[in-house]
Amino acid sequence: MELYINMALLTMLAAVTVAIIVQRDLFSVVILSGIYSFLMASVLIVLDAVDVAMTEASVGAGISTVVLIGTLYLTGQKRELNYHRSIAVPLFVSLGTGAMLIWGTWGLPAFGIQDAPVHTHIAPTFLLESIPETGVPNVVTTVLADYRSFDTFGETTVIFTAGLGVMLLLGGSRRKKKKGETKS
Amino acid sequence: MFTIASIAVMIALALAVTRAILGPTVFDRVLAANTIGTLAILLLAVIGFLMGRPEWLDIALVYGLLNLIGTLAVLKYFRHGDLAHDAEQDTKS
Amino acid sequence: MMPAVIIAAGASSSAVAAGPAIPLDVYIDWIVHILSWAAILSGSFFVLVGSVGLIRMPDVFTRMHAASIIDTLGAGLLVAGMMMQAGPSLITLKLIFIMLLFLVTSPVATHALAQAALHAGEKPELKEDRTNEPGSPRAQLEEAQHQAEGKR
Repeated sequence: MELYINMALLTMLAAVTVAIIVQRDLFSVVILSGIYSFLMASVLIVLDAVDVAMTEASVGAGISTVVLIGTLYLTGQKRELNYHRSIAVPLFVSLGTGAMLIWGTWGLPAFGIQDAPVHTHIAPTFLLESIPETGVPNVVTTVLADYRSFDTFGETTVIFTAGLGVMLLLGGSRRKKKKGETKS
Repeated sequence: MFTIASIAVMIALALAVTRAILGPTVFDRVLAANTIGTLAILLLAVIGFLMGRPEWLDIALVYGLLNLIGTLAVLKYFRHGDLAHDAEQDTKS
Repeated sequence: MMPAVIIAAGASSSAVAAGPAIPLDVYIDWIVHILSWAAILSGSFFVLVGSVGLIRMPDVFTRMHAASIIDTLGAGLLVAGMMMQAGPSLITLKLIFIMLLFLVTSPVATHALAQAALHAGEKPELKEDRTNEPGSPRAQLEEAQHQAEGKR
């Protein structure tokens, strides 16, 4: 069942992509890309990657639709310009890149295999040495807060900045009102 | 039971995508996008029940909110030609 | 899966009790199960009807009408069926929230869409536009609009 749902969703994704390429009206392209994000998020959910799906839906269907519409408003461009350029070079580049990517997949280990490099190389190291090195019983916490502490620090800064921005946006008007009241 | 429901929702999704691709006007596409958002929420809920993981409903809620925001942003642009338009100014002037 | 379990439960309990002593819970489970089947099947039917309408209807406004079937009847019945399957739990609460979200956002989005479409000059297709000549309703719509503007 999961397989068939995935196949159907991916077919629809391909159809929407072709429609985006063919479409000349830029508004329609924005809306179709929103539809693409919703379908892609559904595919990711069926694949059990819930966090990625959440990001895809909020960034793809939410923010980028609004930002793209704002861009269309600022530029005033409603239709794609007709460039009469040769398609030979872009076609060659995209076909070449696609061929290289497919060629690269042949070097990957089989799906879910036990002795893939991920399972033989780094994971045992963490499992064996994290407690003697750091003394933290939870391996995930060790990776996030010890081995990748600078990365986590950066992420925390981003979230802190976002929260600060929200607080400023929500609380700013109240302070202004107070000032107005004291003046009057 | 949930298999039947998910098949129905998938067929509906395919038809809505068809309308989004064919749609002669932009509004048809916006309508189709809105419907696709609704159907994606339903698909999520149904598949969650089908696979025994109903906690996906949290994401369905997020989808619903995003769907409304995207639709309203597009439509506000079309109605007023501006995303930051204040409707009260219209009635005052 | 579920009906089989329930049948088995009912059969075993009746076999054990060997009489009309089937507990009331089994009957209630049965009724809830059948109701949720009915709700989910009819919800699927209405979702299909709405999406077929989305394809078959002639212009934006009638398509909105078709799409709102999915938002109200289709989603409502599906969510009701799922609530009956989930029983009283946190899942049911989330489903109620999803349903409330649908009930609030769907009319707002449809209203905004209709307003924007009217503002942009989309005209609903009327009965007169169809009865002039059979075939090519779009072209007739344009013609009818031109005639109406000429009369004014």
